[in-house]
Amino acid sequence: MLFNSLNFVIFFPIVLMIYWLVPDRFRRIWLLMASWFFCACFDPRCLVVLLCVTLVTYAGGLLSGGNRRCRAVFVCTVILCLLPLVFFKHLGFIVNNINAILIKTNKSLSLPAFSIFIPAGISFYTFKGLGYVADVYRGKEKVERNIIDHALFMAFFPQLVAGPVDRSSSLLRQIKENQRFNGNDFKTGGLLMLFGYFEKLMVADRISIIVDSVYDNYKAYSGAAIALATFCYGIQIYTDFAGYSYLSIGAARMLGFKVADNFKQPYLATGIRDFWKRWHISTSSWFRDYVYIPLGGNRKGRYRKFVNNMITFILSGLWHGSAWNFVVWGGIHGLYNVAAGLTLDCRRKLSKRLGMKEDTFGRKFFRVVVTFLIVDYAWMFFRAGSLLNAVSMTGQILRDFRLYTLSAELIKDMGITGAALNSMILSIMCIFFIDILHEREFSITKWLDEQGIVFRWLCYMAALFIVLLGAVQNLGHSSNTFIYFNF
Amino acid sequence: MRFPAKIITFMFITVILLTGFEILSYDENYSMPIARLTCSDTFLTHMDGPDWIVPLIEKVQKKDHSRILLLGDSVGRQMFIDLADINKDVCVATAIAPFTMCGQYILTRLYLDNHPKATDVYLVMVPMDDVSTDFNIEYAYQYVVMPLVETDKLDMLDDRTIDELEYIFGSFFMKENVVSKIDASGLNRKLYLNYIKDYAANDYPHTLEESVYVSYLKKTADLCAERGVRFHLLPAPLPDMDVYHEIVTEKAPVYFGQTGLDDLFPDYLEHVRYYPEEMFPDGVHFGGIYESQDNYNKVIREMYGYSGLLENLVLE
Repeated sequence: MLFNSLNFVIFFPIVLMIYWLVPDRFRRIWLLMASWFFCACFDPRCLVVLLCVTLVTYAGGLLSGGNRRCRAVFVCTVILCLLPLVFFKHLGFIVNNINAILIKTNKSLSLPAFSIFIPAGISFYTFKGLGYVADVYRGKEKVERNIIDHALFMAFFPQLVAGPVDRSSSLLRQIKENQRFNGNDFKTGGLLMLFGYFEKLMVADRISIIVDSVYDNYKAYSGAAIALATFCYGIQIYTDFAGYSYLSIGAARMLGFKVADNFKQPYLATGIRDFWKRWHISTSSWFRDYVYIPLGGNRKGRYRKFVNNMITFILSGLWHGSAWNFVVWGGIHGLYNVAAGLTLDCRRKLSKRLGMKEDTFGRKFFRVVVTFLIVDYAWMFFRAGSLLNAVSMTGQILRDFRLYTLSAELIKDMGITGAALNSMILSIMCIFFIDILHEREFSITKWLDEQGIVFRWLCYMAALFIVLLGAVQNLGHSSNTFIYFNF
Repeated sequence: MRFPAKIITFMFITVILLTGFEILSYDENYSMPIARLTCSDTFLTHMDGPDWIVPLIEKVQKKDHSRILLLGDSVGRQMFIDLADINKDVCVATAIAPFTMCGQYILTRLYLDNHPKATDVYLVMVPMDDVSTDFNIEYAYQYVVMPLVETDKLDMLDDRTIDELEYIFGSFFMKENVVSKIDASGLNRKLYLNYIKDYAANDYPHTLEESVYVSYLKKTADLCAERGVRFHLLPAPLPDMDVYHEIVTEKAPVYFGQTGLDDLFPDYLEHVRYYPEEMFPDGVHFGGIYESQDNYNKVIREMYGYSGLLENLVLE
C-alpha cells in the first residue's frame, strides 16, 4: 500500500477517524491493528518477519533489563535482530560474491544462486529495534514491558516502510502518553502531507522520466545528457524522499505524534559534514550513535576517527542496497568526510591568508554549489544500477560531453511534455523558495495562522487543488514507488 | 468556530468546488480547456471506441442495396475499408478486435434486420490464442460498453454478458447518463479508464462454451442460418512467426474441438496463410510499403478465392 495509492487515500482517513472516535484505552490497539494491516498489504510474509523482529527486540529488552552485565543477551539480541535483515536483503549479495571468487580461483564448487523477497521496511524497523535494545542495554532508556506499546513502536505505519528511524526516547514515550486531539497539530499534519504529495507528484515522479530515459540507456546519450540526468536525479531523490518524509511526519502529526524532521534543506549545506546533518537525519544520526561512536568516534585519535568515518559510511551504503555501487557510494561519502577533515586546517589557514571572510554570501554560495556538485556526483553511483555502469557513465561524461546535444527536443523525446516540464520547473523553484524560507527559520504555517480565515482557506484549497491536479496529470504513467521503499 | 465544524465546513466547500469542476469538465464550452489542464486532452482529440464503433452501428442499419455484409477485426479493416466506396453490393463494416464477437453479432443482427435480401455475411478474424477471457479490461469499456449504451443496443446482448460487463465495470458506469458524461469529458475518461485498468475484476466465472467468443460466434452462425444467409468465418493473413504457428496448430484446434466450432467452421484453420514477417512491423498489421490497397488486393485474391467473396467484391 504505497502512500501515493488510492488504497492509502481510503485507508488513512478511516484509520484516522476511528482513532479519534474510540476511547483513549483502545487507541493504541486500533493503531497497532491498522499498522499490522498496512504491513500485511504489501505481503503477509512481511508481517511475519516484522512480528519476529518485534518479539526478539521485546524479549531482548526484557532480558537485558538495563543490566550491562547481560552483555551476552545484548549481543544475542543484536545478532537475532540482524539475521533477518542479512538473510533477506544481503545473503544474495554475499552468495554472488563468493561465487565470483570461486569462479576466479577456478574452483568447480559454487553456491546455489539465491533470490528471495525483501520484506517491506525491514531495514527501517530493524534499526528502530536495534536502537531500542542498545539504549536499554546502556541504561539510557527504560525497559518496555508493555508488549502492545512496543509492538506499536516497531510497527507504527507512518514510519514502517521508509522511516524516519525514530528513537524509543521519542516515539515510544509518546505512545505511552494518551494523545489529546489538537486542532493545530491536525491541521499542520494535513499541510505537511499536502506538501509531501506536492513534492512527490509535481517533481519527483516527473523528473524521473528524464532520469530513467538516460540511466536505462546511457550509452545512447552524450556525457552532457548523463550529467543533466544526474543533476535531475539529485532533485528526484530529494523531493521523493523528503516528500515521503513529510507524508510520514504529517500522518503521525494528525494522529497526535510529533516526529522530528528528517530533512533540513540538505542542498543548502555549506560542506559535506553539514550535508549529513541535514540529509536523512534519523538514519545518519542512528549510524553516528550506534556505529560511529561505539567504534570510538573521534576519541581515539585523528586517523582512527577517519577509519571510523569510512566504516560508518560504507556500512551506510550497504544498508541502502546490497550491491557494490551502494558500497562505493558510501565509500565516496566517507572519503569526502575524511578529505574535509584532513583539509580543514589548510582551508582555514588559506582563507585567513587571503583575507577571505567566512560568512559572506559569495563564499556561502560557492560552498553550497560545490557541496551540491560533489553530493550529486555520488548519486550517480546510487542510481546507476551497478558499479560498472557508474564508472562507464563517469567516463562518458569526461570523454564525450557534447554540451550542444542538450536541447528542448531532447527532453521532449524523453517523453516529458512542454506543459509538464514547465509545471515541474515551477514546482522545483517553489520548493527551493520554501527551503530558503525554512533556512531563515520562517514558518509558513505560522504566517498563514496570522492571516484571515478566508485567505487561509483559499491557500489551503489552492494547495489541495494543485496536488489533486498533479495526481490527475500523472495518471496513466507507471506509478512510481518511493525510492526509499526499496531499502 | 470549533475545529470539527471548521473541518466539516472546509471539506464541504472543497467538495462543492470539486464537483463544480467535474461538472464543467463535460460542459461543451469548458471540456477542452479542462482536458488540457488535466493532461487528458488526448482522450478527446484521438479516435476512441465510440468514434470507431458508433458509425458502424449506424452504417449497418442504413437501408441500402447491399446484400453482403463484410465484418472483421482491425486487420480485416485494413484490407477492406477502402473498398467500401466501390462496392455497393457489399456493406463493409469491419471493426476492431476489442469490439469482440458480441459486437460482431450485434452488427450482423442489425444488418439482417434492415436488409431482408441479404445473402452472405463474411467475418475476417485473426485466430485467437485464448478465448477464455471475454473482455480486455483496457479497451472493453470504450469499444463495447460506451458505443452500445450510446446507441441503445446493449439489450441485444444476452443477460449473462450484461451481467459480466456489470461485474467488471459496475452497473452505475453502464447507465446512459453516466456513459455520456464520461464520453464528453476528457477528465472523466482519464479517471475512469485508469481506475478500471488497476481495479476492475476480470474473473467472472464462466465455461468455455459460455465465453463471449464461442457463444456469440455460434449465435451469429445460428442467426444467419435462421435467416437463410450464408455465414463465412475467414482467417485474416498472419505473419510467419512461431507464435502464430503455435496458435493455429496447437491452441486454436483445442478450443475449436472442445466447443464444436470445428464442426461449424471446418475450413477456418485450414485456410490460414502466412506472409513474410517484414510485412507486419508490429507483428499484427500490415505496415510500411505493404500498407497499400494493391498489396491487400493481392492477399485477398490469394486467400479468399475459395469462399465466394471474390465473386461479389470489386477490388479495383
